[in-house]
Amino acid sequence: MGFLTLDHIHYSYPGQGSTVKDVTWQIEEGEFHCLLGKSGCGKTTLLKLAAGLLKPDKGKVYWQGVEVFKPSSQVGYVFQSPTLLEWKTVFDNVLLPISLKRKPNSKELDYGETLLELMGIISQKDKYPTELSGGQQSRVAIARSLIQSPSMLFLDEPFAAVDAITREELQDDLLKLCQLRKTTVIFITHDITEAVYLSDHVAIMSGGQIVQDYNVNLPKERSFEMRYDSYFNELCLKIRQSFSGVSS
Amino acid sequence: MKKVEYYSMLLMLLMLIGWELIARPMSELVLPSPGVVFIELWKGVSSGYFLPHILRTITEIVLGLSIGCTMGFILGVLMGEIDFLRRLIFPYVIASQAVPKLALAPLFILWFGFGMTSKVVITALICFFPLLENTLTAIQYTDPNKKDLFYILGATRLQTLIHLKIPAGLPAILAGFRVSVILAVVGAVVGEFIGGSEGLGALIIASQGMMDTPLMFSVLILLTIMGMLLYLGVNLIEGLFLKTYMKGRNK
Repeated sequence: MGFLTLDHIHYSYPGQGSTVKDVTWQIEEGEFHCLLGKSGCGKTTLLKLAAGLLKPDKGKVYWQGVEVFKPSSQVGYVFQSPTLLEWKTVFDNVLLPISLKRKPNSKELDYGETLLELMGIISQKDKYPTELSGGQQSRVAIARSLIQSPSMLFLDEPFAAVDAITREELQDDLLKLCQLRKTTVIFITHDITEAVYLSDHVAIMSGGQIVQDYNVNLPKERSFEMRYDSYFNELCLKIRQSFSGVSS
Repeated sequence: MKKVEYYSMLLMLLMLIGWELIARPMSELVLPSPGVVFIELWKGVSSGYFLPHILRTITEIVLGLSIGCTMGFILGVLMGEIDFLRRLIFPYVIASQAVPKLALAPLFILWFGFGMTSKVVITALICFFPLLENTLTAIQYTDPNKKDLFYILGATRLQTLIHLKIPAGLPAILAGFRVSVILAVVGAVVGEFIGGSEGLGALIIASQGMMDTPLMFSVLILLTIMGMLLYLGVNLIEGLFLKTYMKGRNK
């Protein structure tokens, strides 16, 4: 059994057809998985099922061999929108997962600052979310999801609202942080190049099912140039073509 | 002072001149001129004649507003949090609001007497609904992603309420408070119209009986000033609470 296992998962929203149909998926520790698919194919629902935010109608989710009934404290989740609390400063937003339980200690305060530094927004520490740009808000949301050093991270199109250049910077920042802590990641995106650049595996979802799962054989240390080498582009093309196959 | 503020002052001056011109050929009983009204106002203020009435009306407004808003907020939170409670009592709350509350004023005077209590009850009842409605909506429609976030973080229901739903709903709750403040003045004054010997509303009725139109106008000016000060107070409170929500958006 893998680090995270989805075993024949089914889910449907009340009054609708099946959103997720018989998905079986195994994720090993430290792996970075991307989930690609068109809008409405059930990606977000699958992510919520994997994180324990939704309970499957049929099938089971196991995390380190134990059945998941609700989100674990070892899990970090980043939503499509940054979901920051406008009445708290950037630093307080980052520390929220801890401050909900108790007063953060000096070690945690230091780690919060380290995360902001790694994300390149330490100068925004005392500002409020409404004073930040979309990219900066996404960075705060990622820092918040990492403050408790989760062993598993779920990200739902976290860079959807940022421009292409900022998006590339954020991708590198995220990879750096996840590799540093060997975090296992499931990342949802619409962008094929983003999926190939970030992940070890790219899963294609269509009609509520995972229809393909590609291995990405690129060195762990990613670089800007990789986006332009032949293997990278061939893989992107292969994934794109498999999409055409899915839609036909 | 900005250009628009000059124009605003100029507009006021023009209105006063217009008032003076219209009032000049008319009887003081129908429309007293601004000069007569301001002399009456100054006499009343300097002699201390208005003071007990102003204090009475302010006390009724503050008490009614505090009681009505507190009840509205508490019930709004409870109904927003407890689905069963909302479905159980919401039709009755709507029914109670469908009755024109000012039409209930004679009944409250019958029940609570001619003293301050009846006016405070009327004011509280009028202030209650905007706060209830806005609080309920704010609590119910908290961003589902933020609720999911708190669920993932293992927050209890009370923590989610205190750290998410109430602060997130604060702009809507304060918008309800703004409406309540305006209605509170109406509630207190109308209550005094119907039965009372003290307060600015009672003074308007008394001036009508005495056919003292300049006095009536002076009281109306006092009520306008009072309403504007209350509105200013609400703006200050909003600015204080919503400062962080608006940062960056004001640029």
